[in-house]
Amino acid sequence: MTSHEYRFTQRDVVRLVGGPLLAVALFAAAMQGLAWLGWLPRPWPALDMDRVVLLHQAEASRSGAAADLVLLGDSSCLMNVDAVRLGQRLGIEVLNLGTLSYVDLETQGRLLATFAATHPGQPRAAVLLLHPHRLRLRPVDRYHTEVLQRHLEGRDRSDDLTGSGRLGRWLGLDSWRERVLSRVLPWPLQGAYRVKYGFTHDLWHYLEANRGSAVDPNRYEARATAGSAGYRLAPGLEAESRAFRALVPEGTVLWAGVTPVPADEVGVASASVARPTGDAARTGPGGATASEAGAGMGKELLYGWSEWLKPVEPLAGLPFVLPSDWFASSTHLNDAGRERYTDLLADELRGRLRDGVSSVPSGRSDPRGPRR
Amino acid sequence: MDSLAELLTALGFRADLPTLRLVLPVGISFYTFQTLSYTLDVYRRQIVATRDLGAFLAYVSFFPQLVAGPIERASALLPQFLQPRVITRSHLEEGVWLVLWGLFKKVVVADNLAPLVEMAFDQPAPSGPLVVLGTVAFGFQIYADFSGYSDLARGLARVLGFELRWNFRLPYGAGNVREFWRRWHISLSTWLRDYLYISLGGNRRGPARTRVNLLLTMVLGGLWHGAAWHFVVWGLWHALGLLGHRIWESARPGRTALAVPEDHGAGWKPAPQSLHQTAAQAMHQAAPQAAYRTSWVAWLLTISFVFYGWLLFRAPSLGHAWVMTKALGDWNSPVWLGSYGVSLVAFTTPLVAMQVWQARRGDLLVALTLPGWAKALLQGALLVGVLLFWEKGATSFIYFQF
Repeated sequence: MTSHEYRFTQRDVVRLVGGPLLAVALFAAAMQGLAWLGWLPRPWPALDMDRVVLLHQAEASRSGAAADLVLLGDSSCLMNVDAVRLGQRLGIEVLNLGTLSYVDLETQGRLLATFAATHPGQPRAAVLLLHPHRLRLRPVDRYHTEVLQRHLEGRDRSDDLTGSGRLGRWLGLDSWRERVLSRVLPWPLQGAYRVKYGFTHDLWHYLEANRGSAVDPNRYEARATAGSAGYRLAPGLEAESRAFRALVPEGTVLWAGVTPVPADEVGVASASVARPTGDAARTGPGGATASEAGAGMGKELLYGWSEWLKPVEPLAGLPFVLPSDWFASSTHLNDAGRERYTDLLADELRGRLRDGVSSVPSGRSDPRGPRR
Repeated sequence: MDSLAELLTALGFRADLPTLRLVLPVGISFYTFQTLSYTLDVYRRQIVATRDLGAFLAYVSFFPQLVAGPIERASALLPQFLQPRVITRSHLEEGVWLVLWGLFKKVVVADNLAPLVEMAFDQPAPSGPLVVLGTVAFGFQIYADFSGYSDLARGLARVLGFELRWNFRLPYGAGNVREFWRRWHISLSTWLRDYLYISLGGNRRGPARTRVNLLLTMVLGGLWHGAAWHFVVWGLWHALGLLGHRIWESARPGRTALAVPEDHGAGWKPAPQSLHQTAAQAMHQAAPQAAYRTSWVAWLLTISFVFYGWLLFRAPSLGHAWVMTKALGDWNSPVWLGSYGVSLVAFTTPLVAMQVWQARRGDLLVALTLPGWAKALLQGALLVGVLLFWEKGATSFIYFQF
C-alpha cells in the first residue's frame, strides 16, 4: 500500500523554502553592506556583565570624569574597592578601571595610558591591584582582552571576536546583535548579579554612579582547606608586568598591591584572624592581625611581583588574609568587607599621598620598599 | 518527576531519581492520557478497537506530539495511520509556517522571557510592580513555550501528511474563564471534561453535584502538573472561576451557557482538507458567539483572573505565592524596573501583534493570506530571530516536566 500521496512539485518546494532563505540572505547582505559603508553604529557588545564592565571602563578612560588616582586590576580591584568611598577618605578624585574578566596587564596599561592621554596631567597616581590567583595562574581571557583592545583602539570590524561562529558573522547576526540590539535592549545579568544590578544598562549606570566600582552580591561559602595554600608567581607574568610598566605615563606614580584571600582558603582558622580596622590592620594589639596571619605569604608574592613590575612602592601594609565572613566569593569581598577594605587601602595610601605624590621619585625605588 | 520524588520521600519511600526517570520517561503523562482515551473510547463503544498493532503503537508514540501533546484521540489520529496520507502544497506551506512560528515563539519569546520570570519569582522580597510584570512575563512565557511546542508538533505532522488538533486558540482573548478553558490546552481540558468530569456525572446530577464534579476535575487538573499545594490551589482557583461564571450566567435571564464546542477530534476529516479550513473552524468553535465582541471589562477581569492564577502556578511554593500576593500592596520598585519593562515589551510585542492580527481576521493562519513576497519576508524575519537567539542556548520546554 502506498503510504503517502504527494500532490506538489519540486518547484513548489523550492519556492516555499527559497522565499524565506532569500529574505535571510537579503538581511545578511544589508547588514554586511551597511557595516562596510560605516552606516551602522559602532560595535557595542555590552551583552553581558563582563563586556559591560570592559566597555564602561574603556569609555571611562576616554571620556570619564577627571581623577587624581586611578585603580587598575582584575575583578578583585573592581569589586573590593569602593572608589567613591576611597575618594572621600583621601579627599581626592578616584576612578576604578578594574575589569571583571582577566585582561592581560599590557591591555590594563593601555587603559591607563588612554586615560592619561585624554586627561592631561592626570592621574597623579595609579594603583594596580591583583588577586593572588591572577598572579599565580595568569589566566588571561583572550576574547575579553581583544574586546577591550578593540574598543580602546576604535577598531570597528570584528575579526575573530564573536563566539557565534562564521555563520553568525556571514548572516550579519553579530552586527545586528552587537551594534543595534545591545544599544537598545537591556539584557538580564546572571545569578546574584541579576538580583543586584538587574540588566546590562542598569549595571552601566551603577558603574557610572560609583566611579567604576561594583560590588559582588554573592554569599561566600567557606571551603576549608587542609594545610596552607601555596602561592607562586606565574613565570609568564614577568613579560606582562614589564609591558604594563612601560605604559605607565611619566609623572604618574605607580603603587601595587595584592588583594586578600579568605582565611578559610589559606588554612588560617577564621577564629584566629583578628578583624583589622584602620591602623589596627598594621599594628593591632598583640600583633595578631589578619594581615600578619598571612603576611609572609602575601609579602613574598608582592615583592616578587614588584621585581618585575617596578612600582614606586608595593603596598605591603594591605592585609593578605581576611576573615571569610568579609567575602562574597573566593576573590571578592562582600559589601561590608569592601567598605572596610577600602578604609584599609585609604590608610595605606594616605601617608603616601600626604607626603605628596609629586615628591615621590619617578625613578624606580627599591621594589621591596620598607619592610613592615 | 521531582514532585513525585518529594511525594514518595514524604510517604517514607526511598526515591531514587535516576530510577524514576527510567520508570517514568519524559512525556509519560501525555501518552498515558492518549492510551487511556483509546481504552475508554473502546469501552464506551465510541470507537472500534483496532487490530493493527503497528498502527496502534504509531498512534501512541507519534513523535511530533509524543512528549508534550496535543493529546490526540484515537478517533482522530488512528485512522490517519490506516490510509495513505495526502500531502499537498498547501499542507507543506502550512507546516513550514507552523514550525517557523512555533520555533520563534519558543526561542525568541519564551526563552527571553524566562530570565525575567526568574527575576520576579526568585526574589525573596519582591515589590508590587515586579510581581505584576513578572506574572505577565510568565503568562506570556508559558503560552509562547507551550503553544510553540504545539505549533511545532502540528507543523511537523502536517508536512508528514497528518493532522493534529489545535491546542490553543488565542486564549488571552477570552472574555470569561469558561471561554479561556475552551482556548487553553484544549486537548487536556477536553480530555478532563470527557473522561473525568463526565465520568463523575457531569451536570446530570443536579447543581450541587455539578459543582463538586467541576471542583474535583479542576483540582485534579492542577495536581497533574505536580504534587505541590500551589498547583492544587491553582486548580481550585480556576474551579472557583468556572463556578462563579456559571452562577453569573444563570443569574442573567435569557443567557444560556455556551455549548461545548465540537473539536475536530470528534470526527476526523480526510487529509486533503486544508489546515486553513480547520483554523477558521477552530476560531469559530472557540467563540461561536462572535468572540471579539467581548467587552473590555469582561476581558480585563478574565485576563486578571487568569494571570493571578499564573502567579499561583509559577510560585515556588504556596508560601511564596502568598508573599508575592502581599507584595502587591508595596509599590516600591527596583531601580532596574524600567529595563525590565522594556525587555518585557520587546519580547511580547511580536506575539501580541500576531494574536491581534489573528483575532481581527478570525484566522489562526492569517499569515498565509499574505502575498508571496510579504510571506517570504515575514518568514525570513522569523528565521533571523530564531538564529539570532538560538546560540544563547534554548531552555527545555516547560511542559516536558509534566
